[in-house]
Amino acid sequence: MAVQIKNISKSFGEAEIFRNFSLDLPDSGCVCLFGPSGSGKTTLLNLILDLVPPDAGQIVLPPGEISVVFQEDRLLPWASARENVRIVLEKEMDFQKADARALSALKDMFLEDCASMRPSELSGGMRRRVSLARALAYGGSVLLLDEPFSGIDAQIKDALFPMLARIKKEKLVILVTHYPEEAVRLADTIHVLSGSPVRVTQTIRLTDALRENAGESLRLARALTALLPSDSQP
Amino acid sequence: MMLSITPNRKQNNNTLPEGPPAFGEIKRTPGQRAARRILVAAIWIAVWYLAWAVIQQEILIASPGEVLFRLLQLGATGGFWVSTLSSLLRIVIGFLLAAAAGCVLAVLCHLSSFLYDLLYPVIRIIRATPVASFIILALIWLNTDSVPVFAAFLMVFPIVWENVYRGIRGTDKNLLDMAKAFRLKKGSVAKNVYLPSVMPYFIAACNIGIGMAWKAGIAAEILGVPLHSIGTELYRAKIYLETVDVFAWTAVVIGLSVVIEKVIIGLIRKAGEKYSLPGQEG
Repeated sequence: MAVQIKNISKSFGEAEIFRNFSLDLPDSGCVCLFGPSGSGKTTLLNLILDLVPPDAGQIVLPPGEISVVFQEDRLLPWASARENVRIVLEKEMDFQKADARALSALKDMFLEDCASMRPSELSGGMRRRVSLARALAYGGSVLLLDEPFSGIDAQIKDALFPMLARIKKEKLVILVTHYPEEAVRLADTIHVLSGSPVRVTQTIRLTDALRENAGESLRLARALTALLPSDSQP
Repeated sequence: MMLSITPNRKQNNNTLPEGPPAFGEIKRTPGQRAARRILVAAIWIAVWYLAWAVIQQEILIASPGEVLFRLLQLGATGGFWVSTLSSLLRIVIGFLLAAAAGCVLAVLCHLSSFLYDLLYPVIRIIRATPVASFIILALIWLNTDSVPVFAAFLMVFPIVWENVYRGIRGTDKNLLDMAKAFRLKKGSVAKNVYLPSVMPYFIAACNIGIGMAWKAGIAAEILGVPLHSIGTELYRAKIYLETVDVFAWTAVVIGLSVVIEKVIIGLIRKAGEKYSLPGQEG
């Protein structure tokens, strides 16, 4: 197992988010954490990233870096798109290489013409793609994606899915979303999170055969939508 | 509550429809602006002239013409330039030392809450104490040439310290988490996250601090009377009731204040240009 979440407990003040929560995630493939807003999905990512410490329990991570697309873009507002990507690469490689890789990652996101623009000059969807470019250029053995496609045009989204489908063959991709369509198109396993404290209420395994079957995919997406409270449905 | 200068962080509102200009924000061409400034200056010089014409006592008020003539006379002497440059040097040294110390100690206070607690009352005392008290004490402790440096330092240091500290503490936590997640090196976090966040606070502090340093420095010169200084010239003019000289040297002080403010703030802004956001002034 690549990521092992062992008996994690976490509270914020009076609100108990996790109590003895455990989850094992594989070395590769796409695992989707699906659930309504406030179901602890982002907190779980923050625990994996060690941005918030657990009150109890342990998270075992594989060797290597963990890359992330945060729920918010978290781009440096004073840096260009190219610099935003390059900055996270400079630790591992020299400036020229980092710059070339940054530009290539932006090209993959169809943003080569916007490389010198600052985040304030880009649309919400473009900023999201810069954030994706940064995470993909960074590499690592685990890729965390927190609502990675919000604000991205359907056409561009369609072009990005095959790329992520390729990436998930090489590493573990943890996708957090409350969009059933994204979960069905990318995930190999969907863990439905809900409750307080949070628990996995359902685990759904998906196959390429299911994905290729439009009717089955749609049925599953509808079933997932039905799991969300009406105010969380996309 | 301690005084702090909030940097101007105007949001980029390019997408908003243009409404009527707010008070004081009427757009004018550079020519119109220059003409307006000349008109304002002319009005105030006329008021000054009228006051002189009504009072008619040269010991109380000098005429604009006399002051201009005296300024030209002074400008032709070597002593004028020696005094002016000496004052300028002392005050700029005091300002730069305070800016450097303020920044370094703000960083250290961010790293150590004990140091912050230790320094905070000292800063409060510096801010609450009249600058003249410090100048008198400094005259006992230091030589007269160093007192203006000390006075300028004491004026600027608390402002820079507090503003830079607030800038560091106010750095976007989301960006710091991003830096942590991508394991950026400490130097990279300082350069790419903290420095741009702090820059507007630092520029705002310098904007206020440079004027205060200049005034405190000149006041220290008047009390300390170092060999060559603008303050010494003002003190002499006062002793001999040379009102024209008092006006002329005061004009020099005002003129230089404007010039150094423009030069120093211009240089700092230039250095921080990379980090300024659209619609954001330092």
